[in-house]
Amino acid sequence: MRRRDTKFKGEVLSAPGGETLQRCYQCGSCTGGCPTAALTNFRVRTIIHKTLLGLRDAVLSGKDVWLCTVCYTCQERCPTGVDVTELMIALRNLASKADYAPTPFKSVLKSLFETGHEFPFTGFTRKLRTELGLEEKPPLAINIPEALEEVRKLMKMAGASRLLEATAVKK
Amino acid sequence: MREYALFLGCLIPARLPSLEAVSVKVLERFGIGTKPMIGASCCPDPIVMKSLDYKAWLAIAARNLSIAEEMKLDVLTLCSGCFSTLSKANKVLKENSNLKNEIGGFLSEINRGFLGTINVRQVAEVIREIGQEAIKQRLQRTLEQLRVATQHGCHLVRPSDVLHVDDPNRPTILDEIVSWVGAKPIDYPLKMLCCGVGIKAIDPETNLVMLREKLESIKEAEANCIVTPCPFCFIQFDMGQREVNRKFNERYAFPVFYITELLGLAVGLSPEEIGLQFHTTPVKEV
Repeated sequence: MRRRDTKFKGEVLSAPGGETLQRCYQCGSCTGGCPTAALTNFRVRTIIHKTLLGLRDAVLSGKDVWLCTVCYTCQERCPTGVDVTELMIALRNLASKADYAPTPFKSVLKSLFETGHEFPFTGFTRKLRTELGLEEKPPLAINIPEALEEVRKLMKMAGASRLLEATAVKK
Repeated sequence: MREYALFLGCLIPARLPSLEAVSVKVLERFGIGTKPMIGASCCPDPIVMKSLDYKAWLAIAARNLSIAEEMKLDVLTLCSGCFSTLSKANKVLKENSNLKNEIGGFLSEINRGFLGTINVRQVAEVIREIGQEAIKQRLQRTLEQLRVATQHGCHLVRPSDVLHVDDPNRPTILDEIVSWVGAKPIDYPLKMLCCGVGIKAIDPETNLVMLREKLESIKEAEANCIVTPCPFCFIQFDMGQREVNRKFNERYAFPVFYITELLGLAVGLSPEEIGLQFHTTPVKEV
């Protein structure tokens, strides 16, 4: 579990958002301003340290990387210019590739693939829209099959549909 | 008349359609037109989808941008999440040639392309651009009884290398607009604390503690309502107050206004026209 993976750092550096990893000198400004850190054991600085050490499984398999609210406070405060929040997102992408993504997140992806939207329109929505004088079915991907097909194609080309399969297999 | 391609996203048209209706109505009053983006999808969101598959996130965002590019109009977003995603994608695709080529390849498969010809705007910025004078001329209702805690939210101002709306750590754009409509902006210590929606699905308990801290800070500052330009912050406060009250036996009851709802009140729309009856936390006499 604690074995060092010498390739891990390189993987992070080449992932979109991970490019600035090596600028970190472990000052802890990120953790100091973090809204989650104030209330939990979530520690951004520690996650970065483990990443620099190549502790792949410790970083990717846990709940921690998913506890970032993506508020960007740390990124604004970092004195050496680590794109800290983007780095958390890069780590989450690697965790997701290793099939560690949390179920509530995967169901959002499923909804996007099935409807083109993350919050699907319900009967209640349509009724409320009509009451408000809005189009019951606005011209969005959810109501235009060709548009939805485009979104699905993009997800397949990017490889996101693999996540759907992984989800299906797990269930 | 200034015109924008209106990017609806998901949360507003599907869950908070009254915010869509009032925004279009209020912007029209100030001569700002909106055109629908035919076939637009989810932005996709900058927290979940961007984390699960960055390239799919970027590709879908690029497709949405391409729709506005075809319309030759800047994008207007009513949601700070959409604002964050579309702004970041627009910047990445303009500056990173490797990603631009890769995503461009995907787009050509669906007969689209990214040109990089438009900008992305958030509704709060567009309201600021209307200006104090134009807004003052249309004021129909006095809102001086409102002591407003402004909730700028994170994705309106950060990260500052992508978004240039205001100071990333101490923004005042909402306080300015609030004072233009005659209400009083109230400073409070936890003004820039995140609403926590990003961890709601992962750690709902911590999220409620975060919300409670924020609400307590607002209470101590003696504000009597909350104003935000972000539908996620809106839901967090409007519905979240009820959850916080249940969980911690509290009695927070701050009415929450989306920024165009506040403007709607100021220009004389009735509470029913604005849709205040759809709020979870009741809006008492204003």
